[in-house]
Formats: sequence, C-alpha cells, structure tokens
Amino acid sequence: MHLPFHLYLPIAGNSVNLLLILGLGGFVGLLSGIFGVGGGFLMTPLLIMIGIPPTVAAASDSNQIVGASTSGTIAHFRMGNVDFKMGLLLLLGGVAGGTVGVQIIKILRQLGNADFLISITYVLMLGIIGVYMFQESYRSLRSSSAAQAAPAPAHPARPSAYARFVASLPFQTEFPRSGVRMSLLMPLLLGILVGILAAIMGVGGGFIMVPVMVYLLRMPMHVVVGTSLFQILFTCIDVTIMQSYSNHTVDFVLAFLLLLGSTVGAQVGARISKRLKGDQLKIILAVLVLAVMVKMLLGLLLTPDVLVAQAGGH
Amino acid sequence: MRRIKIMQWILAMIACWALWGLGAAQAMEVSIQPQAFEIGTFYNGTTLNVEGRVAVDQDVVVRFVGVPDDLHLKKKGKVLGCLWMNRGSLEFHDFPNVFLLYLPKPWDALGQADANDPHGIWTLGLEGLESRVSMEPEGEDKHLFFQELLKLKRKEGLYRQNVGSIAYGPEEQGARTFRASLQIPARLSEGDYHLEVYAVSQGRIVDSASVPIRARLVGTPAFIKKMAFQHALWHGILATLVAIVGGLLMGFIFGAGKGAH
Repeated sequence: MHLPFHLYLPIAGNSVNLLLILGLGGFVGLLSGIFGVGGGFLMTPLLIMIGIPPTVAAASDSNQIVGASTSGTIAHFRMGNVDFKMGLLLLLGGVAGGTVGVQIIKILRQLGNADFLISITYVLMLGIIGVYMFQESYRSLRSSSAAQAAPAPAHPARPSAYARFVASLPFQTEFPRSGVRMSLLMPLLLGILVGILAAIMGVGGGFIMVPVMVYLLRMPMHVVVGTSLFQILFTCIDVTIMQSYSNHTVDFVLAFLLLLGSTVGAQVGARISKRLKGDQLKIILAVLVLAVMVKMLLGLLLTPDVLVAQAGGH
Repeated sequence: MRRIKIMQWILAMIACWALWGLGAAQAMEVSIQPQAFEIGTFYNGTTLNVEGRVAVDQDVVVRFVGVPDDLHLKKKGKVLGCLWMNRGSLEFHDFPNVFLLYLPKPWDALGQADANDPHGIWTLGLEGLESRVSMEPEGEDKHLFFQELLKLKRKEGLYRQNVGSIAYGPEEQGARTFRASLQIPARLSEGDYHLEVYAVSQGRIVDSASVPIRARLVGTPAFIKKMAFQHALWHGILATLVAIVGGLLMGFIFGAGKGAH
C-alpha cells in the first residue's frame, strides 16, 4: 500500500514517505529522551533499510541528533538533570580523544584490517557494556527489594580500590549537580577514552559514555541522561558541519523531517525517563544494547544476501 | 546501346522501388512523451509513454538506461573462516546506474541468434551488459560479482525486467502499432538517461531509435542540492542552526504546555 505523502530528498536521490520518516524520528527520539543516547546506532541502519545511501543516512542522522539533543537537553535541564561542569570536561576530553581516534583509524586502514577491528570492537564493547549493565542493574533491583525487608548494616562497607584511586588523584573538585567529588582529570581522561572508541567505531559515543558516567564517574542515572545529551549536542554539531563541508552528505530535508519526529519523541522520552527508576532505566538500556550487539553479531556470522556493497558506508 | 541504357535505367528504378518498399516495411516509427521530466519536491517516480509502429513480423524491446559510469564497491568475504565483513574493493567500469528493460514476451519467444552475433538480441539484456562492463581488479571472479551487483541494483529498484509490458495494436498494411508505459523509479538522481527502442526479428536487432531523456531537479530540491554542493559550509551551519532552533522550539512548546497545566 502506498501512502500519499512523498517528498523527494535531493542529496539522498530518493523519494521517501513523509509519515514513515516522521515515525522513525519519533521512535528513535523517544529512546534518546529516555536513555540519553544519540540513537545514531539505531537510526542509521533504519534509514539505510528504507533506501537512503549509507553516507547520507549517517550524516543526516547527525544533523537531526543536533535538534533532538537540544530538545532533550532543555527538557532535562528544566528537571535539573544536566551537569554542565562535568559535561564540558567530558566534551573537552572527547574532542581530544576523537582527534586521536581518527588518526588511529587512518593507520588501521593503511594496514588493511580496519573493518575487522571496527566490527570486533563494536561487538565486544556492546557485549561487555550490555552484560555488565544488565547484571549490575538486576542485582541492584533485587537488593533494593531485599533492603526494604532487612535493616541497614551498622557499619558502611570499606571503599573499593577504584574509589580509593579516584580519591587519591590531584585537582579534586565538587560536582554539585551530580553530587560527587573527584579529580578534574577523571572526566577528562574518560572523555578521551570514549572519544577514541567513538572515532574508531564511527558513532557519537552516547552508548559508551552513559555507562562510563554511571559506573566510573558514579553519577546518578537521571543526571547522566541529561549530561550525555548535552555532550552529544556538541559532538553532532561538529559532525554535521564537517560532513556537509567535506562530503556534501547532509540531506537537509531528511534531517528536518527526522527532527520533527525526534524532538517530539525526545520530549516524551524525557518524561518517561523521569517516571522510571534509575535501575529500571539501566536494565532497559542494557537489553537494548545487547539486542543491537546480537544483531551485529548475526550480521557477521550469517552469509549476507548480497556479497557487495556500495563503498562509502559505515 | 540506347535500348541497353533504358533497360539499365528501368532496372535501377525497380531496384530503388523495391528497396524503398522494403525500407518502408521495416522502418520503425517511435514517439516518446515526455522527453524530459522534472524532479520536484513531491516527485515519486514518473511514467514515460512510448508509442509507435513496427513491421508486423517484428517485435519491440524498450530500454531506459543511465549513462555508463564507474562504480566503486566493497566486496564481502570471510575473516577467520566465520566472520563476514568488507574485504577489499571492486570497481566496475561502464556500468549504468539504471537499467529498465521492457519486453513484449519472454526472451526465448523473441527468437535466437548466434551467440557471437553482435546484432543478436542477447546484447540488449543483462548478458550483453555483462560483456560490455569491465571490472578491477582483473583477477577477481567478474561473473560472480556482476551477479551480486545485479542483486544490489534490483533491491534498489533500479534494475528491472518487465516481460509482457509492450502492447500491440491491430495489423494494418503490414505494420502494427505498439505502446508501453515505463514506470520510472522514485530513486532517481538528476542527470541524463536514454530511452532506446529496438525492433527485433528472429533474435536479431533490425532497427533502433534512441532518445535522450533529461531528469532535472527543480524547486526546493534544486535549491538544496545547489546549496549543499556550492555553499557546503553555509549549508552545514544552516542545517545545524535549523536543528537547534527546531529543538528549542519543541522544547518551548512542550515546556509551555507543561506550565499551562
């Protein structure tokens, strides 16, 4: 059945159904608002599925994430969920790490095994993060229900080796919005690490950054979501302008349509996020991450329908 | 002597008449509408109508093809014996991005010519295309990757074969009319294409006509493409600003809505 609303996308060189694009934008925007991830790892494959060339899909998606994360950041800011200080430090680290990552990927491409390493890094990162988040949130959910039945222990547990290491670093400072105290070096170094991984994997890095904020920076989940969106906003502004300037692959019309759907979705997502408990959010995100990992793994293991692909995609 | 000259003149006249008559029987008349089309904001494919007359003992094959160009591809292969991923590049030369074929009946029913006949109808189909394109690197299995490329193009809807898509009218003075409606795909870029009509008989091409078809971007799509390619930096900045304003606007709308309750 053909729905009557079609628009021609001049950069993608294809006509698309308006309602389908709005729906895709809304769905991915919803996830973005709930979990604080950019959604590029979902949106780009969905756009390719409906006939958008891979390079245009990735670049236009970055453009729409600018809008969705602006909307999401504002929604979370109103709820007091954005730690600007932490976000800026992570961003600085991310930009530096991204620059290093781009150089690493250039060297890997020259060696001829970049695609293999990218795919393996992707599956491993998604698998490790997904399994760890799932286990941790599941334990946390169970222990919180057990804690309601049992009294609290008389003495608090001894801090872990990681906590002692973080406390021993110089330049200690308060992050009042996140309610943590740590060295300025921590978000900077972790930002660099995520930036390197994101550049190698060719993604915005939201789904790596969120677990890093939760488990290594010990930020509360709701602040993590808002701060992650704030950071993604700047990353995607950079990507959009660079892609448009260097490759001419940003389809303005496609991005605008996706934006219409995703900004509504992001606002709804932010409200759903507020109603869910932190552990519930983490466990749903873990399932989502694991589902993407399984899909990628199957893509690597099963014989593809077509043994060639247009050059230029991810 | 004069009688011989008159005889030669009469014979020449007869020969001209015979050749003219033969030519009239074989000459194909073709009319194509439209010969150019515009790709505007609401373009979702279009229809080209082909009409004409052809000798009653001939069939008609119609093709809509893009300009042959180079095509860069990634080929997939196994790593460590079990993981499928991109392994190396391929380049096809003289490969048209669009190839739509319209036949009145299956290939077999159009007759068979010698496989080496350069005017055989096989040259009109994918077999003929495969013989014309070249692939790099040369050591690779060209047939295998050509077939894989066809799968990709069919998935995109840019390579199609439509059997039974040419209708004939009644016979009249040794000729008959033909008509075909060509559905041009929505996934089409601005550029030059060719609509080719072939008269075929007993597996051979006996006549042909080719008309250039221009697909031209107009209106908003033309403006956006011009901006994206000629003012790329401003296009990127504008796209970013629109996204931010859109996000702010939606934030404001939702925020205002919340405040009203």
